[in-house]
Amino acid sequence: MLSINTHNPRALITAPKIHTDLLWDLSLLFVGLALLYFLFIFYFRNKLSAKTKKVAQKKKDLSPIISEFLFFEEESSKDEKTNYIQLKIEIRQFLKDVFNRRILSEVLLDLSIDVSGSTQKSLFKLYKELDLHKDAYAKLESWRWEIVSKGILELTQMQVSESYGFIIKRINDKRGTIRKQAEIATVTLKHEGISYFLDTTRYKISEWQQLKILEVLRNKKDFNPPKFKQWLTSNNKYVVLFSLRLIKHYNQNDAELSIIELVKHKNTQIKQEAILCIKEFGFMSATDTLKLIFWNSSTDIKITILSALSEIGTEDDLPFLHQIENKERNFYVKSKALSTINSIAPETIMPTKEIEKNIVHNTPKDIVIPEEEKLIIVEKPEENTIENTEDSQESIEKVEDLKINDSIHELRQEELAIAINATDKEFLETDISDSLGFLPIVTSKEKENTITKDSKPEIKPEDIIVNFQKVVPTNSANIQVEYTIVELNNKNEILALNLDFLPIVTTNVIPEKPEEINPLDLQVIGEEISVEKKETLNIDFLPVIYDIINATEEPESTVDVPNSKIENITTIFEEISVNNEAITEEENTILNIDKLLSNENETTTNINVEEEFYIPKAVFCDKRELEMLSLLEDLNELGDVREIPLLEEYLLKEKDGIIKDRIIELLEKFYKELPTTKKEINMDDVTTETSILEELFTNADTESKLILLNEIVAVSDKKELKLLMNLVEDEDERVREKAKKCLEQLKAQIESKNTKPDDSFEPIPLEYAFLEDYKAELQKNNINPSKINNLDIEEVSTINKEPSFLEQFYSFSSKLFDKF
Amino acid sequence: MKKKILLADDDELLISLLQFRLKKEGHEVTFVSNGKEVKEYLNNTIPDVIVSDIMMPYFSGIELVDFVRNELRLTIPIIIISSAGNEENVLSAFELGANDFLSKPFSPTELLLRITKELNK
Repeated sequence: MLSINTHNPRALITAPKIHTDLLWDLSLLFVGLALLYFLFIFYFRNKLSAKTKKVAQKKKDLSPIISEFLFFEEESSKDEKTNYIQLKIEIRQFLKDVFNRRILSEVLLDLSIDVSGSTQKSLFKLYKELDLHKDAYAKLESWRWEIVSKGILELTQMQVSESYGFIIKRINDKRGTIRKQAEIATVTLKHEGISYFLDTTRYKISEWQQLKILEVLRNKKDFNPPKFKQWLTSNNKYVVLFSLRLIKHYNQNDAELSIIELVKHKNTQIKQEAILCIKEFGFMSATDTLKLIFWNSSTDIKITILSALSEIGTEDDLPFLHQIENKERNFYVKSKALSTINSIAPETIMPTKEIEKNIVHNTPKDIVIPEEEKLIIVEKPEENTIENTEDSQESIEKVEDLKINDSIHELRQEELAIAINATDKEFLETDISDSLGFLPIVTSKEKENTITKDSKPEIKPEDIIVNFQKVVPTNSANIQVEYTIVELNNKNEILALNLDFLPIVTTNVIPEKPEEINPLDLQVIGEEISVEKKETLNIDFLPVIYDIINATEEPESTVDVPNSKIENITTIFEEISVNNEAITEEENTILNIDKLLSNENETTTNINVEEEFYIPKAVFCDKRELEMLSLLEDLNELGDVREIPLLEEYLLKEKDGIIKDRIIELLEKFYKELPTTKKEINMDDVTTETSILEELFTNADTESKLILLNEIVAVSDKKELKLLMNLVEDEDERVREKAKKCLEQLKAQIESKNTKPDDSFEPIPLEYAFLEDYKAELQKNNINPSKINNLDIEEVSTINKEPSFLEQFYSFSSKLFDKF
Repeated sequence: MKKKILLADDDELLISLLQFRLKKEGHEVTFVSNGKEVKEYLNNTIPDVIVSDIMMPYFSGIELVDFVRNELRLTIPIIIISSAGNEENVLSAFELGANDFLSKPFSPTELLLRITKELNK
C-alpha cells in the first residue's frame, strides 16, 4: 500500500492568541444585546396589539352613534330628536381627543367605500359637520409625502369639493405619489378638473394613471366631456396621447385634420393612437398620409396602418397593398397586407398552399368530363390566384403575368363593350362576366404542344394584338361566341412564348355550345372489380371461414358490367379444416381453449384436449416444509453471501426434494455474488470502457501528451487500451510513436497478468472471513463444497492485489509531480 | 311584521350599520362575523332571511348557500353581498340557489327593500 499525503503538514494560517477574559466579555456583550433586542420586540408588539385593540373597541363604540347620525330623519319623533342632539354633544366632546378624531375619520372613510345613495351623502355631510376635513387640510401641509397623499385621498373620498383649490396646486408636485393623488382628486372633485389637469400637467401620465382617470370620468354622473381636440397641440406628448384616447373613448370625431397630422408624430404611441382613431372614425382622407408614412414605420405601426386600411381603404389602394405584399420582408406585415387586400376586395387572394392543381389528370378515364369543364378546372387557379411564395423573384414574375392577364382581360372587356350592339348591351352589363364564365380556354393543339412552361420570355401587352369578334348572345343559356386567333407582332417568338395566361383562342373555330349536362344526368359507369382470391383478398383477419368469390376473370377490368350482374355474384362460405401441424401450439392455444369450451374439436382438429390440457393436481406441503420454504424465501430476499454456510448445512441435512432444489438455487445465487479476480480479460469489453485519462489527453498539448505517455503504462490497465489506440492515430508523429510503444507495453502487461496465476491475495476482509472457517470445517468433516449436491461451484477468491483506480490516479499525479 | 334576519359579514362596521337600519324597521337582526358562527347559528335557529357577504373567513358566502340548500335543505331567501368585480362568484351563488345579490357599495335602504321583497314572496 502506498502512503498518500493529501494535506500539507504545515499549517499556513495560525489562529491568533486571544485572551480568555476578552472572549468572556464579548460573549456577555452579545448576550446582553440579544436580550435588549428581544425586550424591544416584546415591548413594541405589546404596544401595537394594545393599540389595535383600543382602535377596534373605539370603532365598535362609535358605529352605533354613526348609524344614529346617518339614519336620522327630520320627521322623527321628539324623543329621537332629543337623543340625536344629545349624541351630537357627546360626539363633540369625544372628538376633542385627536386620537378619537382619527378613529372617527377612519370609520367614516371605511363606510364610504361600502355604502352608496342617501347613506353615503349623509356620511359626507357628517364628515364635514364634525370638521374632520380640517384634519385632512392639515395633512396637506405636512412635509411627509405619505401624509400629504393620505390627506388628498381623504378629501377626495369624502367629496370635499372645497379642497379643490388646495389640491390642484399639487398637480405638478415633484413627488410622484402626491402628484398622482392630486391628479385623481382634481378630476374627481370637479367636472372642470380634467380640463385643468390637461392644461397644466407637465409630467408624464402613466398608462395606469390614464386608466384610473378614465375610470373616474366614466363613473362621474352628469359629466359633459370637453372637446379633447384642444389638447392635441399640447407640448406634453402624454397629454396628446391621453387626449387621443379620450377622443376615441368619447367618439369626438371633429378633429380629423389634427388626428391625421398626428400620424406623422415622432412618438410611436401617439402615431399608433392616431391611426387607431382614424380607423375608429373612418377618416378616408387619411389613406394618403398612411401610405406616405408606411415605409418608414416600425412593424407595429405598419400592421396598425394596414388594419386601418382594411377599414377605410378602397380598391384604389390595392396596388399599394400589392406593393407591400411583394416588397415587404416581414412575414406579419406581408400577411396583414394580404388580409387587407381581401378585406377591401374579398377573395382576391385565394388559398394556394397545398392546393392540388392537376385535378383533371387524376380523373378516371371512363368518366367523361366535358372539355369545357376540364379546362375551367385547370384555368381557374392560375387565373385568379397569386402564389404566396417566399421566392420574391418568382412572385414578381407571377405578378407580371397577372398584370398581363389583367391587361388582356381589360382589353377584351373594352373590345367586347365596343362590339356589342346597343340592344345587347343591357344584358351584358348586367352580368357579362358571369354569363361568359363558363367559357374555357381553347388553344390550337399544335401550338399547345410546342409551348413549354419553362420558357418564359418577356412579353409586353402592347405586342399582342387580340382581335375579338362580336358576341351575339341569344339567351343567357345559349351564347355563341366567335373567336379569332391571337396574333403576335413578333412571330419568331411564338414557339417560346408562355401562353398560359391567354384567354379563349381558337383557330376560327366556332365552338358549338356543348350540350348542357346536368350532373344528375351524368352516366356513371360502374366498374366491377374482380378480386382474385389468392392475390388480393387479404383474409388475415378471418379466423375460421373465408369467402370464395365466384368471379370470372376479364381480360380488361375496365369492361363495363351492368349493375344488375352484381346481384349474380355468389358467395360461398366454406369451412376451413385447420391443419394442426401447421399451427404452433402457442398460436393455437386460444383456439383450443375455445374448442375445449365448446366441445367441437373432434372432427376438424383431431386434438386430444385431455392430453393438451393437463391440469396438475395440487401438492400440499406439511407444516415443516412450509416453514422451511418460508425461511428460504426470507433468506432469498434479505440474505447475502453470509448465508452460504447455513444453506450448505441445510442442504446436507435436507431430504425433501423441493426444499433441496430451493436451497441449491439460493446457493447458486449467493455464490455468484462472491467477488472474484479470475475474470478473463475480454478485449472487446476493454475497448468499450472509457479511460478517465481520455479527458486529460483531449485538452493537453503535445508536450503534455508526451509526458503523460511516459507514465501511462505504469498506471494503466485495460481501460487505457482504447485511449492508446486513438493516440496511435494522433496528428503529431511523436505522440503516435510514443503511443504505439505504450500500447505494446500495455498489451504485454495485460497478457502477462492474464497468464500469470493470481495467487497473491491480500488478507481476506472481515466480512468474508467466515468462509475460511467454514472451509476448514468442511475439510475437517471431509466434505468438498464444490461437490455438494453435484453443484459445480467455483472456488472463489477475494480482494485483488491490484491497486484501485483512485490509488492509481493518485500515484499517477504524484509521479507526474515528481517528474516535473 | 317582525322577521328574523341573519347578517353574515366580517366587516363589523358595515354590519353594525345594517343592523341599526334593519332594527329600525322592526326586524330581529342577528349578526355573525365568520362562517363558523353562521353554521353554529343555523344549526340552532332558522332565520327568515339570510344576508351574507360572499367573502368571509372559514366559510364563504357560496359555501353558505350550498350548506343551507343542500345540507339543511332550507328554502329561506338568501341575499348575497359582493364586492364589485366579483360577479363570477355571484353566478356560482345563484347556481347554488341564492335568491338575490347586491354589489358594494350599496344603499342600506336598497337592501331593506330587497329583504322586504324576498319576505313577501
